[in-house]
Amino acid sequence: MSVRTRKSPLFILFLVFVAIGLFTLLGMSAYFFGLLEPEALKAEGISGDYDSGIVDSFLWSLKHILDPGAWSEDYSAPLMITLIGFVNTIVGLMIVGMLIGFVVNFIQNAMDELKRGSIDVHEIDHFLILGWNRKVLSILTFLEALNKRQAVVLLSNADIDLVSEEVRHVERNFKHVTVIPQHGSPTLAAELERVAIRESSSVVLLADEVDESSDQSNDIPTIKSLMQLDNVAWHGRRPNIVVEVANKENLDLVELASTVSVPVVSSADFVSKTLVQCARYEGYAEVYSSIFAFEDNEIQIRKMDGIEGKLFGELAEQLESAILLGVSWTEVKDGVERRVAILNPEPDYDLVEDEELIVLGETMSELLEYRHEDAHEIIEFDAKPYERPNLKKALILGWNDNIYQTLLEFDGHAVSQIDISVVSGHEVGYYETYLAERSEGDSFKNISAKYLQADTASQEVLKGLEVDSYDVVVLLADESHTAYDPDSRTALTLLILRQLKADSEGHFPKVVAEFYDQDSQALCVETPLTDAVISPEFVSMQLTHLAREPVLASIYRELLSAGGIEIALRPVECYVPLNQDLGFLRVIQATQSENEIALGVRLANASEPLLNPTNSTRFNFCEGDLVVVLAQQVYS
Amino acid sequence: MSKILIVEDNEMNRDMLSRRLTRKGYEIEMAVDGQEGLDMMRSWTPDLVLMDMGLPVLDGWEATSQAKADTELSSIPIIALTAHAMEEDRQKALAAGADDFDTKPVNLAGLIEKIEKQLNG
Repeated sequence: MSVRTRKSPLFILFLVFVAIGLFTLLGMSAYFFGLLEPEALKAEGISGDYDSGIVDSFLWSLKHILDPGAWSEDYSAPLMITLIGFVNTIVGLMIVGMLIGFVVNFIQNAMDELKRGSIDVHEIDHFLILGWNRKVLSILTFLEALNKRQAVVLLSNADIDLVSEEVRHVERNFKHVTVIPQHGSPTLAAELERVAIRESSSVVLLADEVDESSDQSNDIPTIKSLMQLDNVAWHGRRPNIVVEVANKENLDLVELASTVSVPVVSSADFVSKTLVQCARYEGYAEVYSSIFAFEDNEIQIRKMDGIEGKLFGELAEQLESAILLGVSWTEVKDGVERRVAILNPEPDYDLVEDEELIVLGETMSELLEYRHEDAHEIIEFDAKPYERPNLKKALILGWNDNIYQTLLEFDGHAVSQIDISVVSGHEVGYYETYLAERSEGDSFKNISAKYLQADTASQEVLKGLEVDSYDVVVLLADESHTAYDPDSRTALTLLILRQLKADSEGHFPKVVAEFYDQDSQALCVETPLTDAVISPEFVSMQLTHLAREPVLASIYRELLSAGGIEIALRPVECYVPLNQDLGFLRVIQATQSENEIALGVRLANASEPLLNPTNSTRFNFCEGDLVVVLAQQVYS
Repeated sequence: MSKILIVEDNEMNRDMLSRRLTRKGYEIEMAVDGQEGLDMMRSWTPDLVLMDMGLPVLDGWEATSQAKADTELSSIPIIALTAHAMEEDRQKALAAGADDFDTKPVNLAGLIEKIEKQLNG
């Protein structure tokens, strides 16, 4: 980190040296008053060997300026010499005093500026985060997990002491990431220049925390900042820019604010999509985290020689150290260059040399090709027909701004009619107005939603809801009770659900919960929770990935939207027989025959999914084991 | 070179189909919703349309019905594409006026056979 104050210290240092020079010259005038005569030399204690005149008088004068004790040696020297020595000593005291004061002041100012977050940043290739919300800490943690040296500059209007304190809390364990919190408005061009935006490698624009006292949408500063970025003269070195919007309704505005297309993450949209995917597939959140949380495996785009003429399915079987997910290429249309990425092409897709591979694998590993001896292992068996998730009854407990998007997602993924009950602390009128404002008269096509005002952390209320009659219960981080922390309410509700499950004799629904803090989720291990979505963390994962690899935007969009390709968890017996020793290659082949891609497995007796096993890994599957696949969503 | 219009809202499906058919020698243009599809049928006059059924703004069934009711467009063959693999969807697409039907994900060889049958039929 380099720091520069705006008042030039060099000028002050220059003045000090000029003063020393002038007064040294003044002191040298003692030469003319007999400084180097034997009598004076004797008094000064100067050996007779020194008689070169100018040099000796210079050293004598300088010594008096820099060393106050030197004047005591003037005892019994001629009066004029004693006087000149005295003047030099006093002036020397003043200059040294000033110099010490200046140095102390300089250090103090630098410390103050550092504290206030108002230094000029001179980093290169830094990761710049504009805005402040709870996702910043997760982003920092993910960047640290990459094990690469990285300076991260934070610029926001938030209280710098609060920001520094929060950052210190996580930075304590960092070895690779250095954080430089700065205070200032990301909407001002001068502030963006101060944090060296043109030298940055990635810029993340975050939606500020909601200010209850303001009517202004928290997306407005983000949009202003984006407009400022549009005016920056990048000189051909434009960083990867990714934008977070809190409200999906502002997506159009964001697109208008920038002349260049940038990936935009709607946090409400993303969280609601993830919640509904978890409602459809138990264990989805864990799989999602394993793929995107910068752990062992991550989605990468890699170049591989010699793919020309190979079929996608053929290469997928041969890759030993990675799962082949799709292909990517660059195309130019109407003079505009576009990076295209497609997932899950048909196995007979013929690859060409200019295409890159989208793979799930360890970051540094090579894409090893290996032809397996058991490549033609044929196993005849009656595959179990796959039944697609068909939710018919869902209960949503709690309320926050993601609720409308969550209802929309249920609507989009519905195979048949879904009856949804929403319960929160808001009055019925609030719910009706909220829905009317957003739906603009359009009703949902595939869901019927009814609303109940009640306390979702009350045992009586939950008992009365007949929870076990639902297919899924979704607990939103509840902001309808402002006096309580949302995560605490979720934990309370989960405890009551645990009791209800213990009392229930038969079916109990899947339980999906949204948390704001991972520590809160850790408290809920002994509850019927099937999937936990830590919303700031999940959104941060996406923001961090996109800031590093913007081309992943289309992959994220695809994986989470209704109707496209999705990550799904399906029973093993839909593909391969149970209780039989077989290699993962067989699973790959079986999924390929369904136009799907096997990413790994989630074994019933394992706590975590196993992604990207080598093709030769042997399994003996039993009931309850699932295959994690990338598949086209089909509603039949 | 036969001109094919792909009407599909899903970006990846659109890109994949377009890439594969271009390599097979077809000239491809794309539209993202039913209304844009109808507009391009008028302005670009394709030899054939691959129409996804679940489209925003104007869905594929409605766009197909409107195209077949329009004397200017009715002669352009339309192959309906849908992820809904049920027989009733096939019947619904054919009832809307589609000349043929295929399910997603597509089998390219099978789709090309259907395309050629319509183009040469």
